[in-house]
Amino acid sequence: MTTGVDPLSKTPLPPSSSGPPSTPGGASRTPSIYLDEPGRKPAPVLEVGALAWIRNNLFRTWFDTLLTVAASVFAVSTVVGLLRWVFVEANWYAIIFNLRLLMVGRFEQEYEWRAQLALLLFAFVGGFTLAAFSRLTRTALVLIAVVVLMVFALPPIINATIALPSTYLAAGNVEIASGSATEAAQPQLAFFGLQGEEIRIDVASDLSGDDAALADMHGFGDVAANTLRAGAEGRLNLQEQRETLELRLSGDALTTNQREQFTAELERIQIPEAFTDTYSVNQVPVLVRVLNGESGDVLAEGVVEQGGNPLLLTLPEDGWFIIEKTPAEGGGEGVTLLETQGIYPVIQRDTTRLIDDENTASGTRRESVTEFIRFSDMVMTEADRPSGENGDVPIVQIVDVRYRGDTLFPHYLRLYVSLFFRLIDVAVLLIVIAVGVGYIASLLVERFFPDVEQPRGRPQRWAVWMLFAAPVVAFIILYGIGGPLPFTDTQRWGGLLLTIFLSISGIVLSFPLGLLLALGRRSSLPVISQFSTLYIEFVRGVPLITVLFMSQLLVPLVSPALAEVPNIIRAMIGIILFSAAYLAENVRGGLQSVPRGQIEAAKALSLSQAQISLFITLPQALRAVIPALVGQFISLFKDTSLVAIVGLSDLLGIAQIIYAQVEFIGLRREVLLFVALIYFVFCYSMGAVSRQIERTGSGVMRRQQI
Amino acid sequence: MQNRASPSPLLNILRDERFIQAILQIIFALVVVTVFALIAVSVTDSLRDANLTPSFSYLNNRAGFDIGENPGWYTSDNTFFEAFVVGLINTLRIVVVGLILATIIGVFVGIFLLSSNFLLRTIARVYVEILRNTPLAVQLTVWYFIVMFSLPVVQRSITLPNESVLFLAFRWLLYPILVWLILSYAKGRLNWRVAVMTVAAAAFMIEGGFWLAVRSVDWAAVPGKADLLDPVFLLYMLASLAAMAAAWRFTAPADLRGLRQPALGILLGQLVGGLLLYFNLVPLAALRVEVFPLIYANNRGFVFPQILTTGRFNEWMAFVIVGIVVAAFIITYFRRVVEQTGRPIPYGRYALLSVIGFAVVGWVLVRAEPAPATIPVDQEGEITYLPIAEARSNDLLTTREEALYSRSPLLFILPERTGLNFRVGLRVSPEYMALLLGLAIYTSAFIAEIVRAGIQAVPYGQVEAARSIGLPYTRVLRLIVLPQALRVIIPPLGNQYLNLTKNSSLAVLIAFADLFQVTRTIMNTSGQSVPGMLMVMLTYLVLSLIIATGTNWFNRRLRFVTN
Repeated sequence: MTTGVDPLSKTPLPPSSSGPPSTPGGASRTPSIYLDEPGRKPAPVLEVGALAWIRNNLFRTWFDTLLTVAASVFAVSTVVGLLRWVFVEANWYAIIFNLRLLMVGRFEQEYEWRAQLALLLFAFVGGFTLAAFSRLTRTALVLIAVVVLMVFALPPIINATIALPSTYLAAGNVEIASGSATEAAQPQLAFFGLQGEEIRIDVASDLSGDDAALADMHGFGDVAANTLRAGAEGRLNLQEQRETLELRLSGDALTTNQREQFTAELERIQIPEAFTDTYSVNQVPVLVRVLNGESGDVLAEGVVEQGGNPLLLTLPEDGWFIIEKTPAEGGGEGVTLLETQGIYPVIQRDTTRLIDDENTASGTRRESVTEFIRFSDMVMTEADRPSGENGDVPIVQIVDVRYRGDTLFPHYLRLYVSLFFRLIDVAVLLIVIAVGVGYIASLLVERFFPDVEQPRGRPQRWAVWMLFAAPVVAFIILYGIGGPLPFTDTQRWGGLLLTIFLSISGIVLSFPLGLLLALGRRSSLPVISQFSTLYIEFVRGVPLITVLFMSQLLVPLVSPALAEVPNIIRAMIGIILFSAAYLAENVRGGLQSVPRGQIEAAKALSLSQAQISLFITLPQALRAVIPALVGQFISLFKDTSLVAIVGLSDLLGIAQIIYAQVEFIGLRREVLLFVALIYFVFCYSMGAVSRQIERTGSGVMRRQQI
Repeated sequence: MQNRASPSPLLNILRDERFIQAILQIIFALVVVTVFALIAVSVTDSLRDANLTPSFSYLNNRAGFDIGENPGWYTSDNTFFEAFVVGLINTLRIVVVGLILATIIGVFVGIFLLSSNFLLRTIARVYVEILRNTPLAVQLTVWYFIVMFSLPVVQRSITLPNESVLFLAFRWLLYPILVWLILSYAKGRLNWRVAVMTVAAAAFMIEGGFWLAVRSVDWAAVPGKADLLDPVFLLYMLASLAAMAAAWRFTAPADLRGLRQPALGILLGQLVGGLLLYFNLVPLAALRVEVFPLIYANNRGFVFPQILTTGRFNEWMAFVIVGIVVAAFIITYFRRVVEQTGRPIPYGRYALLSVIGFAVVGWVLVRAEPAPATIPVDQEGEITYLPIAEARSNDLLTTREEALYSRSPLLFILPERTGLNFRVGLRVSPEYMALLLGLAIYTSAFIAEIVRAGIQAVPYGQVEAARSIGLPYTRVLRLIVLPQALRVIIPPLGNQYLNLTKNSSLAVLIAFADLFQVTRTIMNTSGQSVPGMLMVMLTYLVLSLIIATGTNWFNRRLRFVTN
């Protein structure tokens, strides 16, 4: 409210107006006996500036103030919770290790350059279109520069300033029990490293104080070390639980029911002895040996104990190594945690690779390879794991050693941000360059081939043609034409690539059918219009998933020739048939908006019916429905996620595949959030473009014409 | 002209545009029919080759599979058709509740989108954008595999409200009275800052008085023996009197004169209250209220309170129906009176009063009938007659039986947990809940946008005109804005209802046994894929048609009546 009532002043000012809360400034309009007294008018109310904005938008009435308080509590808690999860709790390596899978699925690795080329093509066309219809602002340029700089500059800076987290390895001769799990320390572990890397092995003396210190382990750890940490943390949790229960039971704000329940719970809680005492953590000296994985030569040997010297070693060559850690003779029973630098968990992945083979018809064959990827820097090796007497020497696997404890922010930067940026840096640079080249090309076209009638007319026309041509060219690049561009296996397409492919092909290929249906529905011929109406209404009345299923079922049954049609094409047919009905309705809306006079004028010029449709009504109708078509494209883009149900691996399908893998179990949140983010970025930006067109483009043009 | 030889009639016919069109249409129809027939024949042939001749006779065979979510009568011995019906029932359960939920959330968010409060409308905008721009399939996966999976085990169920004990102090009764006094004075004239300050000052005095009283009361002493000359008490009395004097002075100006009465009333009230408290004449202790949860949520689903009809429900219902009939009479009669005389008669309120009155009277009368002295109880196959209280204390009554012999016509039963299970309460599976929430919240984002656009479509001049003839804000909204906005809202809203219905088939992602999911199981079990899919499509088509017809009917009713 905007009044100047001061309850404490001796000569009060008029009370606030009788108007509703939403009519500010009512006081000045209310007639009052005080207003005509000189010098008694209320001070002018501030209507501009930040303070006025805050008052008008956040504290207009008392109810508004309440709302603001409630909403800010909600917003702050949500945002803080989300940020905490993203930076502390989430394990982003599921995304980092599967970025390729999420982007292109199992697209042949050797043809990956084709996917990249298609991406660059789109970037080029995007830049060209941008320059044709709009201009980059200085802010946008600065923003792009900052992003590129960040992507390239951050990883080296981070890597130089932040050390990798340590890996904790347990050594000992007792079984560690935590909850229902029992684990013994592994005497040997394999790891791989590169020549010149330094290995440092020491006792983790930071963790030897008490259980709280033990539970505070941040970094990687092998199974036994993790069991120890989890046990200590569990014990602390139990202690806290017991204290809470005792506190609540001591008060009288409990129902009878709760009192019984809490008492029973309290009786059930049994807190084990401190883990540091039970397993005499870090009390036992450990004999550590580092062996060459292939030859078994001892590279370094030494006893590591608390207060002693660390074992240091520089790796002489690339390859697998084995660390052997056994309690030293006569050291007694217990577990010792080794804090190591340079030994990092490894992920094992089976993949196929195309190799030359003259014996086969095609001259090549696929062979499965086992890759090992080091977590810390994504260094890869295909060398076989070292094996001992009992089979393969266990490796510090990612499935055991997922980063433990809440991620420290420096570790978050080092493990996730740095790696992610290094994965995408080249792509980002190339995209920016391609957009820039397109942008400059558009400017050059305008400079050297100016259109006399309309500024930027020529680049705009070219841009439209490019927008239509780009998907076709991209498809040819990806699918192949034989010869220098061999066909790729569509069954292996997946991820974002498949999602984009299905939605673009869905909208583009449904165009002919959709146009025919729209014209058919408006036709004066009853059979044709009835048929079109029937088709459109039938398809619009059933869920997409049933159409997809039906096309999956029917296509191979229609004729034996179609029995081998790949899954993707079947899904595509379903999507096209579905999308055509919606497209027809959108186009019909556009056709209805074309004024009758246009058709009459065309008839007066003795144009035939086909000519009228082709040259008069359709161009105007299509121009009018561009925003609606973008809207349809957005919903189709989202709807393609349904192909995951019929077994295709689009973005959602890939996400399902990823979190079903053993390595990434329990990481659903991260994967789904990332997938949702991709969808969001695409849909939101398309929606923004659509709104832009509606404001400035076809819609405005249409309104001016009518 | 006449000299010219007229062309043969055959040529005339061939040149006739209508004839050409007819021929073209016939050819088109023939082509379409042939194509469809060819497809049908070849599909049938292929299926016959695979020994799966399509037919609908398999529907009478034994289904042989269980459905997790079934209405109770279904077992694996039922037929395929009955399994299909179970799927349909589940779909309808989702759709009906989902439509209502989505509409409620959507309308609220739509209004929030137009709020003058920046924070609120930004939150609503973010809500809408996030939900609209991510696929429903992803959202459903999140709802089920993340939200539902991260719910705790039964023993640690999330409860709403938490089981707890509340202490309600009697003096808090003063606050509602205070607020009511201020509001009754205010009626749009009061500055909110003055109101807040008054409440704050009064709260300070009430709480201060209470604190003083508690402080000086000797808990062991007999009530009424407090010392009148206790300096703290004297100070309190003096402060109260000073406050009254200050209030008198403060309300001297003419335009604040109206405040005088409530202000003095409040202060006097708290003075008397303080005295009463001080001499221990009102209970100092608070009322102890035990709060029991309404809703439990755990990884095995949700449990809601249940409303049970008892043996006396029908008798009560008779009263209610009489009330409704009377209300109908009131409405028809008074509406005519209003139309003819223009007298403002709040007949809607009378009608409501009639229904409520009959319902309440009926409730009292029905309850007045005494409960049967003894009831038959099945005790290990033997039926014995026991008093209700005894049967209940021995845990011999099922919820249903208890409801049957209850004196009230309706029972509102809170969920009750016994160990790992719930004895009473409406149990809902996590799959149902995930699908319901996912669908309703996804659709609500679209409905919110529709509501926002609808309200914005009403020209602001309408509101101003309504305000200028003196309609209060609520009636402007109810009589002017909403009816006009509804005309814009209804058609796209109907589309969203259709979408929700069709989207319910995504239940397959989270293995909820809806129509589509059950049919998939039927297809796998019986091998009859194409007929099964056709049945599903036709059922969805019928559902869509029903919703579309409903929307159109409603839309027609809302159209402008123009002469």
